[in-house]
Amino acid sequence: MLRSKSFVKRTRKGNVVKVVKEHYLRDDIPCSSQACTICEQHSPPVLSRTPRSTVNIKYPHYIIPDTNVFMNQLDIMEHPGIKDVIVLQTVREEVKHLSLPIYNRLNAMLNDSNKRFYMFANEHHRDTYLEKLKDETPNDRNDRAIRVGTQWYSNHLKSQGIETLMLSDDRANREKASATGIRSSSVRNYVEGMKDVPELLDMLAAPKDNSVEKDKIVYEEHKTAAQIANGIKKGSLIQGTLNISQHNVLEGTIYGEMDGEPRTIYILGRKNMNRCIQGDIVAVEILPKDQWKKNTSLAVEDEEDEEKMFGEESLDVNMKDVNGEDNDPDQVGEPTGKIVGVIRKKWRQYCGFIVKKSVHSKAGSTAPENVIFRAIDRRIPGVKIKTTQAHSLLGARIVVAVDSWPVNSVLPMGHFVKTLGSSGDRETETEVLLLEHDVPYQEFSKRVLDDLPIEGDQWVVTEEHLKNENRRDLRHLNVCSIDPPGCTDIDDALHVRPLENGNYEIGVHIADVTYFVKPEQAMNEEAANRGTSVYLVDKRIDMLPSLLGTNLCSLRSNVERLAFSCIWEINENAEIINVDFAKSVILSKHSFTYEEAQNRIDDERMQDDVTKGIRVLNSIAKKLRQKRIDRGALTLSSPEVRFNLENDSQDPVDVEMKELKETNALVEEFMLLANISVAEKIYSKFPMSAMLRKHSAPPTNNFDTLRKALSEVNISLDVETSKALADSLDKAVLPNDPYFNKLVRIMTTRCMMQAQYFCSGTESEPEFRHYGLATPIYTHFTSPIRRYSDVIVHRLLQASIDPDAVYGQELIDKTKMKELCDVLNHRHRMAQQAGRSSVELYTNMFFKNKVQIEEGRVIRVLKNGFVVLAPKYGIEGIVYTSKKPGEPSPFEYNEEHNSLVAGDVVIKMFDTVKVEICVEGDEQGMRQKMRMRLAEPFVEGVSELISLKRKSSETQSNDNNDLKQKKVKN
Amino acid sequence: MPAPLISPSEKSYITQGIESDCRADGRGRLEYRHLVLENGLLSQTSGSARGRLGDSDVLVGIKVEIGDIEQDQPDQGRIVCNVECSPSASQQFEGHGADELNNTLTLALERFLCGPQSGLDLAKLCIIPGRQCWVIYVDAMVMDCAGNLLDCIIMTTRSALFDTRIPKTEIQDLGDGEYEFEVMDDVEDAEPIGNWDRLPLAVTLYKIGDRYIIDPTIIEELCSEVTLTVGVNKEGSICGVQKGSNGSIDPSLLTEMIQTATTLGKSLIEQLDAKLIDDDKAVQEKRMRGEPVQKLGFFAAVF
Repeated sequence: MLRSKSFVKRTRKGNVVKVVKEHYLRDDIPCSSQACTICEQHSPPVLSRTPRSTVNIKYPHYIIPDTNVFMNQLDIMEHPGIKDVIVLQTVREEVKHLSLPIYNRLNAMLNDSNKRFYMFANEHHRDTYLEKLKDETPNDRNDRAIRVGTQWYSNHLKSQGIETLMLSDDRANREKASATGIRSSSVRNYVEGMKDVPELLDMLAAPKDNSVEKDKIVYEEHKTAAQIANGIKKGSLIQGTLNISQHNVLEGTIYGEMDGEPRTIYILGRKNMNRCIQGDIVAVEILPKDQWKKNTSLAVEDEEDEEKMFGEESLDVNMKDVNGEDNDPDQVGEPTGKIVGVIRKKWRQYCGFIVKKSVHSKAGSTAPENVIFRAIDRRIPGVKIKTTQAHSLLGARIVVAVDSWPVNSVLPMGHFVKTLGSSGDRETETEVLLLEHDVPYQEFSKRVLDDLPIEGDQWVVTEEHLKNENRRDLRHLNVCSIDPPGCTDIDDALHVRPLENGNYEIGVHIADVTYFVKPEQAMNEEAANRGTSVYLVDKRIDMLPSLLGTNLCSLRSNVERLAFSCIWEINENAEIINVDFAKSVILSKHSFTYEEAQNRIDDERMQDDVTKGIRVLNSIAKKLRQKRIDRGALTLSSPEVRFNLENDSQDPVDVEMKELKETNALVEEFMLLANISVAEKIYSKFPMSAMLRKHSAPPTNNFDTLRKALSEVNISLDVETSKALADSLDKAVLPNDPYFNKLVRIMTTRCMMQAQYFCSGTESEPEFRHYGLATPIYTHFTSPIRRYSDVIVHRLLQASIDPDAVYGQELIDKTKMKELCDVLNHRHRMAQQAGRSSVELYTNMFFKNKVQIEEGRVIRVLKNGFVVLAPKYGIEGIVYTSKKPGEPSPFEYNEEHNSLVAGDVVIKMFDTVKVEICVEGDEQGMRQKMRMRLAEPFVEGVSELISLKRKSSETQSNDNNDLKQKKVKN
Repeated sequence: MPAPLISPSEKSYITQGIESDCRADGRGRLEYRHLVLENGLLSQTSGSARGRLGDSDVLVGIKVEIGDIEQDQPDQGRIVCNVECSPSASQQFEGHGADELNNTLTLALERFLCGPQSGLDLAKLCIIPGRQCWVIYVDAMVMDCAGNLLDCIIMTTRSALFDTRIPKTEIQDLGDGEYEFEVMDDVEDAEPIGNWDRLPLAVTLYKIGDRYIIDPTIIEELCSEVTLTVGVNKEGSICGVQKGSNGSIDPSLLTEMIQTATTLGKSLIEQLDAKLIDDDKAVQEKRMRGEPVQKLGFFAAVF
């Protein structure tokens, strides 16, 4: 039967078009219930023969939720306790219109055979199709369609004894349903009846309007989308991503274009942040100049700020705190603005804990109550959630989703999603940090594993590979690999061979991952989504299934493996005569650790071919390195630590700085060379769509603070070019301070931009430069096992060298390539941060129950404290100059010299101080934090050392209480 | 349509028949032929109607678009008319054969609709004053031509305008005197044209001999010396008068003719409107019951 559906569409030019679509109705759409005897099932029925019943609904039933249930209560629908659900086509389409992420999650549920969700095509069913009536809004029509669908199911399955229940939070809709004899229930009422899964009650989304505070307007209304778009077009509003400071949650910045030039714009105070959360893309209006930020950044502790939020204190108070009264009116200050609208919300689910103070009920109570949730990420404001299990959740890490942030609520509203485990537990904390960094860490699905070679670990290189794939047989060469100890995913191997003309043939062999990972596979999709392997202190989240990563692709010694080889002819002076790329088969003769290789070089008794080869490689690497440095490559530094873990418990027992050996540099040098050669090759063949990596020159004002600090010690830093910077870094030496140079390098590293993947067609050629390596073009080719970018580069290179290579659109589509680059950049950044967080977690574990006094260097001076880096552990922390923020401090901030002065004690950049390091939890022990206190120079009122207190308490335990009280009074 | 040729004896036969109030097809002087009118048969348009008066066959499609406002009328929408005679109606319309007739009819239709005499609420078509408005494009296609074309076109156009729905717009204030608007995408949530019921109908009187007739066939048209088209609205007010052909009308006859046209037009409008509204109601009811609405479309014919 033919009907037509039409709608009005506005074209890009601004005109309207009426679109009419033919719509066919069918009479053979099955209900998909196993109990049904009427329908002709085209595929095995999804819905159970014996669906559940609840306390409130005593008969077995299927559920038909309306659209808003999916929009608002998705977490409940995703809960494994909810099964046998009919998703009407009407609902699915409405969800698709409203939110694509939710639509995708809904589809995932429909595909999950355990969930027993069935999509009923009611819009195409002859008996359930509805035409929209005159004077009926689309919403009313869809609600009616849902009711009609529910009614159809009830009638259809009546004889089987199965009821159908419409789930809707819309009271009017439920009333209409009961008027026509359709059973319905609100979500709350429904989950209350599910006594076996009480946690569902906590997962209810917070209701939209909170009538309690209805009259109390806290925030300004956001502007409409059209007003924002127009404002941005005209330049009166600035678009940017809200980035909240790690040190001060009330200070945010956006990076946007102001008066034609890119500037950092400050947003101060919650009121000006206007209900935006870290990462939101926002529209900002610049405040008048007299309200601009004028003073140095403060560090604000969150505990303190939490207090304020519970109280009734107005948000303006915070503003004043941040923007102190002692403003110099002549000072211009930094541009400061307020957020007037959100362009895109980046709200996600947050890991965190329930604030103990906000729980007021008696222990064991199961009455629902409102509590405050704090995210691990300090930049996320507290979230109000309603829970019945407040007491059992105390001390646990939980996941919470934010639902809304109405204008009359100081804090956003959210709901409980799930519990991860108890806080402090290593497994739980690791899961938290993976979730927080958006790292996909699930096991590989069966679909992905199905793409592995069927031979499994029995897979071997055969003669077929050489014959049919045009591979070069390099098995006779003395190939060896050099990696860190314990490395199982060996990406790269090297060989060198003297040629008759006195030159050398040097080959870099990279694991041939693209032989196993083909573009159309599920495995490829998964790898592209993961983007990179993530290295944590105690584990590795692989990008590829371990059969490939640590076995079939890994270039292990004495096994034949497929490789992608880059072979140069290089002369004595390390000049490249010739370069050649080929797929090959290699047989690695030895897997060295860095140390073993180093010992071979040093041990003069060793004169075998492999050792000689390494020596040649080493000498050429040194020459290559020198050339690179002459071109202006930077030698930067960042403190990296390694933990020695106890074997059973995996607890850290010792920390040491990572040490670099000459052989590290050897391997690195040839990898750089291979990457550059490959980059040139793929760019010549794919000028529009090559995946390259660039590193932009940092803007000179990034160095302002550092340069100012260095000028105090009579060192100048020339940042005009990378060469000049490298030279002045070499000169930045203080004769009596051996660590000083390293410190300067560490701080220079922080002024750098992030290196990024990009698609060659989206940038002009001068932009390709890699600043840090001082090379005009660069890419990643050498680690395809752990980076997806390298997989793409392998495909590009294969297509470049093999005229017969067949490749798909994915290698030439510029837009797709750019999108992929964006994903990889994001994943890459997240992986780095996750790695760092993991180190932090272990550092905290290491310092647990320890109090240690260590030497540290001041690397940043704030108004109410300073940041200290302790080189021994590579950790840094803030030392506050007062007991509590806001309290008077013996130190005064000297703006001119950027220093803190207390009597004759002066703290300025690069100073060496001794700090006492310990790890403190907050009151509930929910947020472990490294604490540093100033130990030397000793300043009364600041150096409140725990170690000293302990000593004194040992000797004069009797006076202890008095002493404490006095201290508080002081 | 046969070639416009008529013999003197044919002419005298018709003239005498009219004299004795008995026309060739048996009608009296002031009787219409059978009328078939159907709305909404072109789903892609904003409104459409097909009218068949005897064998004259006209299809009208209305399309509303967003356009720039005419600067001399900064707060009004516009109507643009176009009439085209299909070559299928007559062999003479092939090539440029229909150009003159097209122009005449377009101009006549425009005189009817564009201006205050049409009674339409043009101010309601304005979206942003001085900037943008709705433009109503009226496209009439003559499919078959068997006399009394203008009356048939105007009757069908009126019906199509009744069927027309204009999407709702929502205006947003961007500040600084700038506005932007959004078009609601729901077809059902659209408004009819304001005051459509005030649209006039045309009644053309054809003077043959000393008498005048309405709704002539082609042959009868060829016998008439002069025509008088009168625009009448539902109140019986005269909205326009146009004389056609070369002949002349005596002033006393003119008054009588106008009087006749007004009476005829008023009752025709009443009957038509009642039918249009009834029909629309029936369609809505059918949809409410979920039954398919089937159109006669091009199968409609006079039996």
